[in-house]
Amino acid sequence: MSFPTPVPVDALLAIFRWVLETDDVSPSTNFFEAGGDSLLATRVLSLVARDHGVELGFDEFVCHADPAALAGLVGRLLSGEPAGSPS
Amino acid sequence: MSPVVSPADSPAVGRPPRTVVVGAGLAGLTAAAELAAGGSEVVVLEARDRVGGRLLGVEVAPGEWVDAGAAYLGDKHTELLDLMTRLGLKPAPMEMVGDSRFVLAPAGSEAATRAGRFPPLSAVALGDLFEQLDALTRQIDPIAPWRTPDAARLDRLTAARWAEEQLPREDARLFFPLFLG
Repeated sequence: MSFPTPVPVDALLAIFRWVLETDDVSPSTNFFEAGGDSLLATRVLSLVARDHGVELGFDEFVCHADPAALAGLVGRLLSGEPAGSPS
Repeated sequence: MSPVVSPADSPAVGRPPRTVVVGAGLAGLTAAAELAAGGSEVVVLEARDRVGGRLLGVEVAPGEWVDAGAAYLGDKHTELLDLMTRLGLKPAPMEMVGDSRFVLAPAGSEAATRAGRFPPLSAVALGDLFEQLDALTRQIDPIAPWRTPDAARLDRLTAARWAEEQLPREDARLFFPLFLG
């Protein structure tokens, strides 16, 4: 039995704000509704890989496209759990 | 443009004129072909290990070529169209047809290729490329680019060398010239 490794939402908030070039991002802000596109999404995935050591696919990001959901997904993957659906 | 140099001691009596063309790009090769057709002995010098200059094709999957250099010509490029006709080359229409031209790979998947499709590319690798381009261009004031930190070094750096130094992942190196092109 493993416990999810917590990944602070703040870390994902900082990545969203950097890539979207706005401070107007909350834990529930949907990346694509806030002006993100597929090109910018690849930059989020690159920074997640750099900072957290997890390589996500584009499809996974689309299903976890806000900071809170993405933090949850990264935490579950770091704990070795299957990605599953957004919590 | 390619300078065309005729040796001062030429032409000797009874010998064809001899000409050196510097650069095997479109202009140099066109000049060389016309000089040769006019009866000159022509030597073309080229620094690279290929001809074509700004014309460059990249094979991104077996039998699938894309232009990574000059690619488009219009109806008013009458001389070039005429040259292509003489060489038996046909232009290809440039309307966008079909699905998107590159595919982001699902995480952990093997890159697979099928006809008409380029290999799915790693989203993380492409993101790394875009992130680095963004970090670089954020430093540059387009009105006064010479004020960029490290401007002298950047000015001497080619895009190819930059990619070599900054992009460890194959997918990013593959995509970079297509992105520029």
